Amino acid sequence: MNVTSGWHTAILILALGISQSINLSAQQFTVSGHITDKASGETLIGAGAACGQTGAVTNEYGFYTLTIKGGKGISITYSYVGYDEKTVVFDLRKDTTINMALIANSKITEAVVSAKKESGIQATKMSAIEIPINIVKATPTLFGEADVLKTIQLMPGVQAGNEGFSGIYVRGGGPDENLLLLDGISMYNAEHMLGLFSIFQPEAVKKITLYKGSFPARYGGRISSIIDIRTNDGNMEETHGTIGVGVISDKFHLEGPIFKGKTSYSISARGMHTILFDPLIRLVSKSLSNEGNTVHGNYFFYDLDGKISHRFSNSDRLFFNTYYGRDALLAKDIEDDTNRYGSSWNDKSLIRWGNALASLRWNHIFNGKLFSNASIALTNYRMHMGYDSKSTDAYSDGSKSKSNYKFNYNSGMRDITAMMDFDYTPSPRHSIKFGGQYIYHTFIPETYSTKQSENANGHAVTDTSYNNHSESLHGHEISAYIEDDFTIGRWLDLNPGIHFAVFNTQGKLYMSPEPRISAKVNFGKGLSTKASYSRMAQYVHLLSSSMITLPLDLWVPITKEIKPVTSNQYSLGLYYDNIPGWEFSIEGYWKEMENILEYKDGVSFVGSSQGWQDLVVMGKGRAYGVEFFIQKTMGNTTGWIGYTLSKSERRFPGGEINFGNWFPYRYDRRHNVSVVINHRFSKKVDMSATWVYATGGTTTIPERTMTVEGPDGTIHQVNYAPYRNNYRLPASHRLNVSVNIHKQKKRGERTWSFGLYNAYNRMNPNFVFVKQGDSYNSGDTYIRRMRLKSITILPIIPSISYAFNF
Amino acid sequence: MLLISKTMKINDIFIYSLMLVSLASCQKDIPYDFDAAENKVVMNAQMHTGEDTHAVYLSISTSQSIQKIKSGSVTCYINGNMAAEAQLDTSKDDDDFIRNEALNDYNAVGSAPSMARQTRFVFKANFKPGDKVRLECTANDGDYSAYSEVIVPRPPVFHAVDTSRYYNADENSDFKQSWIYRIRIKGNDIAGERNYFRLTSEYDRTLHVEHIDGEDEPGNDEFYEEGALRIDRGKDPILSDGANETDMDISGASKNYYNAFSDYLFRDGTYDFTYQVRESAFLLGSGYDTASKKVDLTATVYPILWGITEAEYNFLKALSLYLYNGDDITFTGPISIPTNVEGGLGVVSIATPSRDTIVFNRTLYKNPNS
Repeated sequence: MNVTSGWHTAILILALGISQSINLSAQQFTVSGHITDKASGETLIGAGAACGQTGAVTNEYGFYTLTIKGGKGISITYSYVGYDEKTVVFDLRKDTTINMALIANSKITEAVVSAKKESGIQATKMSAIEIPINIVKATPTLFGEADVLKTIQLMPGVQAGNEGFSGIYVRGGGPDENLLLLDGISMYNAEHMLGLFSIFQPEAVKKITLYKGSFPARYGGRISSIIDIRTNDGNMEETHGTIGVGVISDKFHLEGPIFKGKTSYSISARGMHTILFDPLIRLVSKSLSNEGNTVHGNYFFYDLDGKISHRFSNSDRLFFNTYYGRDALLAKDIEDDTNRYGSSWNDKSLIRWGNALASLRWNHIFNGKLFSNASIALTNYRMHMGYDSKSTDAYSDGSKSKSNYKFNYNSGMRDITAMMDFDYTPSPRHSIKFGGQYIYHTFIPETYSTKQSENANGHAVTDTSYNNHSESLHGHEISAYIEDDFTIGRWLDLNPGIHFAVFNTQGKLYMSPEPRISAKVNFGKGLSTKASYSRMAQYVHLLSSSMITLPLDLWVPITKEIKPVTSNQYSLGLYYDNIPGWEFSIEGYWKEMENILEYKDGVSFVGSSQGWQDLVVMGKGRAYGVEFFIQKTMGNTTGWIGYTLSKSERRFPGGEINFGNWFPYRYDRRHNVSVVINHRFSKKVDMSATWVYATGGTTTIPERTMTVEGPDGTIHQVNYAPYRNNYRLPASHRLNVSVNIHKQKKRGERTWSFGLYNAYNRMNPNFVFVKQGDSYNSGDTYIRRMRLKSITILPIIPSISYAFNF
Repeated sequence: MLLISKTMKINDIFIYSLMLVSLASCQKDIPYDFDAAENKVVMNAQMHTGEDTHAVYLSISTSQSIQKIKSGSVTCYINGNMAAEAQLDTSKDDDDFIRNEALNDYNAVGSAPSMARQTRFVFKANFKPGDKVRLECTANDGDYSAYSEVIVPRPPVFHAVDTSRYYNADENSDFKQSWIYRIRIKGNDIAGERNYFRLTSEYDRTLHVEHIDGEDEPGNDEFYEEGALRIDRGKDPILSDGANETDMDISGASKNYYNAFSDYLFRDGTYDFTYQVRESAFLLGSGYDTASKKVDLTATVYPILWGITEAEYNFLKALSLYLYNGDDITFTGPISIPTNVEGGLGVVSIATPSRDTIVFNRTLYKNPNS
């Protein structure tokens, strides 16, 4: 589809939808309000309110609006998965507010939802999946640490990157092409411990929605996926919490009312054991110090989430939430050598990286049909690497020399965001979302400074300092959107929209009109088909030189020379859900990407003083595939089977990589299978199992040996790889299982969890490298055999964890 | 017991962190099958302006071997005109192909078996900055052919200043009285273009030694020597090319073996960096420490700053990392050695040197503690 004609069409369809809203009957009234959990007061997202065949679902703030014909004895049924239904009968003669509190039950029942949801088979949009948080908590993972991102990896169309790590690669896209939203605010680098764990604490999360194709117009800024994570508001009625101890980390969650029914709080904390034991490690280090030498080192990560919600009235709510997380690796080496006339040294090194986020949101309900949300937020990601070395050399003749060396390297980014969103629902068959956003980006791609000073007997020998004068880069991103979801007749649902973004940096203005459209045709009896087109633009890149997440990976902005990444994605799908508790879908997609970045062939991404812009090149990408998804959502046994057949390639027409030819993307995997089963034996015992299979990704392996001449005339043998990603790795597969044993205690529920990661100990390759074999002379030929070795770092790993919910 | 040794590098710590989470990480062989890779001719030449004789090495690369060529030719063109046809050079043994410019440890990597497969050609030509030089080669009766083109870089403009000196602080050294000289290099970047550099240093020295009566034959000796100096760059940020010169070094980034750097830190401005020369390097082998009564030293140090091409810079950075990492696993995958030979493999480069001169004169007396 031509992009220009595409968004013209989108606007026409949008106008058609808006005109529909004008033809409303004067006899209709609007019933609106919030649907909440009765016990906690927590708003329920995606809960249904149905009046006959007409219905509505709550938005991400738990608000619903239902415009129906007035009259006597109107009956509205409220429902939500895992909650008892509740029906209200009343006379409807004017616009009415009904706030409904539902009671949770122990049965997994399907909600009666007559309205279209934002995600799933019922939605107009395709490629949108809602992942219940109880599935995240039940899914067996490494060390028993429930992990939001690793559960998302089990969805069709989503690749896991390096085996066992948290990277998300959606439909052939890269790890930086996913918009991670925490309560609507974007975050960067969502991983801990080099990607083994993600930063999201399941205890603080209420709902997760993954969009991988048909993107709602309200989202922008990334081209491959939107991961929208909504957190708990906090219990308005009673204080509850969780304490957990796992193999790697300890966690704590507490929520409750500050002013009952009005104001609530929710706080969560998680940290590695090593952060708690740090004082002990220091003490041990000191006691083991040898002749004045003390060495101390530690690695830890932690997350802190906090949220305060206040209900001013039925129409106004305020939310303040924060997140702060860090990884830190530190080492100290201190020696005070009194035997050598007072010589000493003191070396300290530290790498620290992580996110900080604070946001303030205000929900206001203008009337039963118009809901608004205003937000301001600050997101900050920082990586700091520092080294400070001081030494004094003292000699028997009384002379002394001192030296001091400092090195600091910083990179990071900061976003200041202001946004305004509106939901307008003129009728149950028609809703409009519109709004705008401004983001002030500040990027510090790489700043380093060095200071070296030496002093001999009081005389300065050298005193040199240098920095790379890297200036912060600033970007202004302004966007506006409108999307319209409406039904025409009995069969056709449409969701056209447009997201228009402007990005200004270094005096250059980039404009990105991004039309989006989804259409759903209902054939009846649960069978439907959907088609969609989405254009997306992205203004940041992640430059990564490794196969795992390293703190040295560089977030960089677009510049005068580096253009925004764009994508055009076309999808088509077939869906069936007429068997209660079962859902079936097949989706195909074609995605084209422009201006994606890669390091050039042969550049040194470490140890080079060249700026990042000199090391990268812009190119194209394409990805296509078919995804099969069968899900069972009800009963004691739930789960899904996902299968993806896909291909993803890259091309850099300038010839800087692979001579300008297409080559497979690093995570181009032809087949990807995930099987997830959760089974509840009783109230006390449940178990989960996941099995994943993926064709091997690609990597660069030397195909030959050759010689080069050094500038000093020395001849060296080196290995040579002819092009990027020339070797396909062996397939990976793995079975994870876990069993949870619950017991109701006097003050709460105790849960013991036992898990087995990689249960049959499959040696999946995490890293591959070439090892030299035999070498010998044979006539005029020098034979040099090469062997390929793989390293597996995640074999079978058992886990045990304890949690107490009160 | 040390929890983390001082010399532990950050990437080691990362690896150990990963190992900690793995109770039984393991290695195993997986299939390696590149036997079908096409054979290619390899052409290597490291040439300089200011020299009129240049050497070119040819060999054949296969998937798991290096073969000597059966026949071959090399032709040099300058600005489109044929300048020379290279002659097969059989005048030296294979091992003599190494020119010991600097005796750094990396020299051990170049192994004799691979060099023995090289066929050396020599030709005469004079290159000037700005020349477009093209080398064409054939091998095995025309079965293989390849070429490479290089624009000769301009010479850097700089001057060297002996800024400071201080005693060698090594207490146990026999050279306690010897100094360490710090040589400062200042210059201007060529504006409006990307520039790449490499630093080397040479020296010659003369020692007049007056022997102690009774410990050796009385009288005077004179020793003359010349050679290449190892660059001790300390932690100079320009010479380390911006890398962190500490234990936090990632993947050997600061092991800038060839002292190659770009103008990224001083683009279109001035540069100012230092390196150190140990006086003991001039005294070694002179007998100063044990038998001499008095030594008069005259040393001339030649800092040489080379203008190099971007292709050579990228090659030297990659080779430096390759020599440091070898075949060890890294997070970054295999080091990719760039080549600039079309139709074949190898690296052809031409560098343009500028040099300055610093003279040190010093009189030393026998170490009273020896």
